[in-house]
Amino acid sequence: MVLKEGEKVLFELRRHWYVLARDSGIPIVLALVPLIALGLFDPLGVPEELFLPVLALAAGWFTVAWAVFFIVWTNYYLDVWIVTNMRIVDIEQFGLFSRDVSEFRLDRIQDVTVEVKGVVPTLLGFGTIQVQTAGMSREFFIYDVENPYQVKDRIIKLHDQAIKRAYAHGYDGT
Amino acid sequence: MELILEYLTPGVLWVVFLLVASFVVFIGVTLSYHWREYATDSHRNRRFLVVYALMTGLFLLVMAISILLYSYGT
Repeated sequence: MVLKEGEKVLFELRRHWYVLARDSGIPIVLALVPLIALGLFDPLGVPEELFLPVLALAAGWFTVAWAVFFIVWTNYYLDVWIVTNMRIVDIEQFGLFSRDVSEFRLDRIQDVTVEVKGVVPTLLGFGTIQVQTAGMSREFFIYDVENPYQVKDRIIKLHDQAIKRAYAHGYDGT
Repeated sequence: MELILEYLTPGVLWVVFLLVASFVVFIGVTLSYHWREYATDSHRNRRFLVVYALMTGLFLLVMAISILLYSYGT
């Protein structure tokens, strides 16, 4: 992302760690299978000759599970809102080869809504923030963000500051 | 059990090793491109790549040593 003149990155918003833990469930379960298989060797009396080939296959299995986990992690890490003193850049990573980048100016924000829905989001304190902007009536979402109410307050504060700056530079509200 | 040992020859295991290695290298190259192009913190990106490479290398090393020991043992 190329910053404009006088622009500073203030903070980044990512989904709550719970989402990463939930999405990592499959590779973690995959990784446990060879451990269970190796653990069954003694109780079942499986011949020792099989130990080395099973260990080799287990190591290969771990490698693949590790790579799958890193794909999940990359999707999580690159799915981000970058908040600067001028705009918010919304980067949505849908998979390794699918990506959507959009941005909106802070002074164009009209409405910020927070939605915390369900038992887990309520207990862990994460939810969805929806921002509506002026002009094209476009809506932007960041899902499962941590402390959504605090984030909403920060965004509104930044919006107010951006409006003040815009008026100071002769912005007439159109 | 003998039937399993008959199929699990070192040759078969080396083929599996090559398939796994190709897969993780492909994923590694793809991920490093993503981190380089899209992430905002280059130091952290390098750290992620090092962690990925170290763990992958360790698992592949264990796999290769196991196959080698198995080859000399049979």
